[in-house]
Amino acid sequence: MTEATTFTWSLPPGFEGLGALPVRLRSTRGALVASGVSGRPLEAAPGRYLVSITLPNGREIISDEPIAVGGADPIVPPNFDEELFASVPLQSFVPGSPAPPPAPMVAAVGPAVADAPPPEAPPTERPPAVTALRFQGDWTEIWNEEAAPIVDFGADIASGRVTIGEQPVRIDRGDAPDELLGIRVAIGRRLFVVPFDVAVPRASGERRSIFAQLKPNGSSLRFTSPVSAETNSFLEFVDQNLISESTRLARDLLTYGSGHGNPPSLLRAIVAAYVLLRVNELDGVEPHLDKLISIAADVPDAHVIRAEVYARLGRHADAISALREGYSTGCPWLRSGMSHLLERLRFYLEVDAGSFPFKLGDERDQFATWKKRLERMARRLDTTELFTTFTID
Amino acid sequence: MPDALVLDRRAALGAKPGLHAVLIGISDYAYLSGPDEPAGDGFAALQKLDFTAISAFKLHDKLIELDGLGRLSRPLKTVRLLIAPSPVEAAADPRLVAWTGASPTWAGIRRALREWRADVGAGRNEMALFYFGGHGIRRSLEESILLAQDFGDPDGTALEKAFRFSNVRNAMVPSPEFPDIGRDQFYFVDACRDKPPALDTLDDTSTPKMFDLALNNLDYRRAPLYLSTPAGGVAAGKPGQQTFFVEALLWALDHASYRKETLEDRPEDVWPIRAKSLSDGLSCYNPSFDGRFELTGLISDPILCFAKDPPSLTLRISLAPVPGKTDVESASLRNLETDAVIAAGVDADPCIVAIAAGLYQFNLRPGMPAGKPPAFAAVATRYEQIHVGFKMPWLIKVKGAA
Repeated sequence: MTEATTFTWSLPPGFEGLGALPVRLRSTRGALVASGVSGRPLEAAPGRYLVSITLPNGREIISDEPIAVGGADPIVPPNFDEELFASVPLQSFVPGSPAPPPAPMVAAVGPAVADAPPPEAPPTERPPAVTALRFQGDWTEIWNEEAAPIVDFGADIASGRVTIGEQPVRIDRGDAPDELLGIRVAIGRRLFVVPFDVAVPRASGERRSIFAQLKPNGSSLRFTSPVSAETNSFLEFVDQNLISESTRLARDLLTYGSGHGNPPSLLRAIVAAYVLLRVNELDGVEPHLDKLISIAADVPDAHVIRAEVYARLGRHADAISALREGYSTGCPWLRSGMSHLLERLRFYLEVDAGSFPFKLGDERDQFATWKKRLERMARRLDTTELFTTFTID
Repeated sequence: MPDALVLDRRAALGAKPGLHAVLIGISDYAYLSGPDEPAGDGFAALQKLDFTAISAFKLHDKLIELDGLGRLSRPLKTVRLLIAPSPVEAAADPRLVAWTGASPTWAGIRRALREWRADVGAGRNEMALFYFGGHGIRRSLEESILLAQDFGDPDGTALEKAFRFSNVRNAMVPSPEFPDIGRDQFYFVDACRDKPPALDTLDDTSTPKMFDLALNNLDYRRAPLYLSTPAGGVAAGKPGQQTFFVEALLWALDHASYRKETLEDRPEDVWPIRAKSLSDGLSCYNPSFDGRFELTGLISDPILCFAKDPPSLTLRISLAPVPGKTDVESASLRNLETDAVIAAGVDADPCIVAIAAGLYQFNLRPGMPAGKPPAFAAVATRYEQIHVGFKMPWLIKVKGAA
């Protein structure tokens, strides 16, 4: 048996703010030996390994040379700087924060020059700024009728306008349960449920805000947190549908909390919970539910997450109670929340009444009404977006 | 009624857990018009198909093949096959001529599903695979209304011979009746997800239940759901061949692995085909399929099958800018594991190279013309893990090339 050794590999200066990033350890022949996250201990038998780091855009950068792990020699982190600087998407940082440090000089060896292009080629035409109509109110309420007023989303229900372009714009949320931004696109209008992020613990009089910017395609919005680069980096992983990496980072949050000097972020906690729900990894999630609700009782997703976790754990009375809360708190920020809410209502309505260890009573009629409303909304839901987005033609 | 069970190894495998597949493919809808006949109004606008029954049949063949090669995560224990082939499909595969197996009528499907659930319910390590190819109607999100072969029976109500997919999936939760139901469950729904106008004419869009549902116990499942088309989309296929989805799926079952791994229950390292890599494989098979298929459900990352050798792939490389043909001395890929060097022709953009999945370094060497400097600086990239999820083309900058 070979004794394992632990080591920690951290991000270069200027990039620690991105928080934990997925790392892998491979043998010198490329066989996967261990997976973990940066800044946390990795365990492996002493030897020489290729290490890699996965960036928020999904690009995995593998060290040129193996590094020694174990023994008396100190571990020398491989020099990834040049590609790190070239490849980390700017949206991984907090808008308005100091730019990452310039790329260090890397001595070229021999005539060979390797260079990786940035992940996204710059668009040939920048999307122009758009005027977005702002809705503040109870969004779900206006879906009571089949022919919802959404068809004519305009000045009648808009409460303001905001110009959004390629530069992030800070949106401060008011007290209304829901806030949406609507932009015109070729096929009609796209409506984006606006989330917010705050540092935890929350302060009284806090500013509940988010940055919004137009994506290069000109028909979608990107939301970034004003709280931490760690949150934005994590959002990128999730948005890129990097499931195993997102799961590792979500688990890391539950185990270690926020790190690297980042303040704990409410949005990151919520998205991490959705990631774990998606992969149905609920071990250790339950103790975090009460914490989540204590910091995010005004966020519909916190209730939806609680309902879904309880339902999967078989705690149906608690789940139904949380569903009720979730429904009356507003429209979920994340598309997954809409999905959980609707599918769970459908499930409870379909389960035989005799199967419940308690009486549902009038709840059944209420659920049926909610389900109908959500089904109307779901028909216009964009299933490719991370945050809840509707397309109305 | 003929039995849908076309493979039964329950006695042979005993308590050893296995894979239980139920494969439904409906082309010859009894009450719908043929593809060359005039379509009717309302739901009668739907017509018979020419590629879904043969798709289920090909998937059946594939599972048998994988099992024979010892490449399934669990040995194949039962297969229930319910198909209604069209004459075009029968002409394409003689085994479908005068098919006498179980018909995918509503009652036939119900019976097969209930028996399938009982088999999967035998133990937590049993594994389930569900495939439906045929007509579907989108409700919303993960919900679909799937149409059985006897859909449209003039003696019945509109949706009497239809069923909801969610009813099937929700019936597979751990419950008082099946507390230890198999944890890993793969679902493939290969059907349209658009909404025919006829659905709006119905006051009640509920369908008869395949299962009565009970509240779940702890839901520990790993249950990915693959949809052959995005919400609102239309599934399609090649007459007499298969659906586009199954075409990609058959390929992905051989190629969709990210990397070699050591698995607890395997003596040798293998290339596992997991829920997510399978999804990437579906898109990788044909670049035009990217974004066409959807992976949802309780994804987790269960392993359906594996490859024993590195899966073959087509790598696309794009050099920027493309160097002049006469300026290149050599272009090659080096495999880290085997040290094999593969020549890469860089005449086309992107250049196409057939490789086996693995870690590769790309090398480009300029010619050294006498008395002149090389046209570009030599390129030696970092190693890249090339697999079905690798974003292609591999973009490589060439410094100094005109």
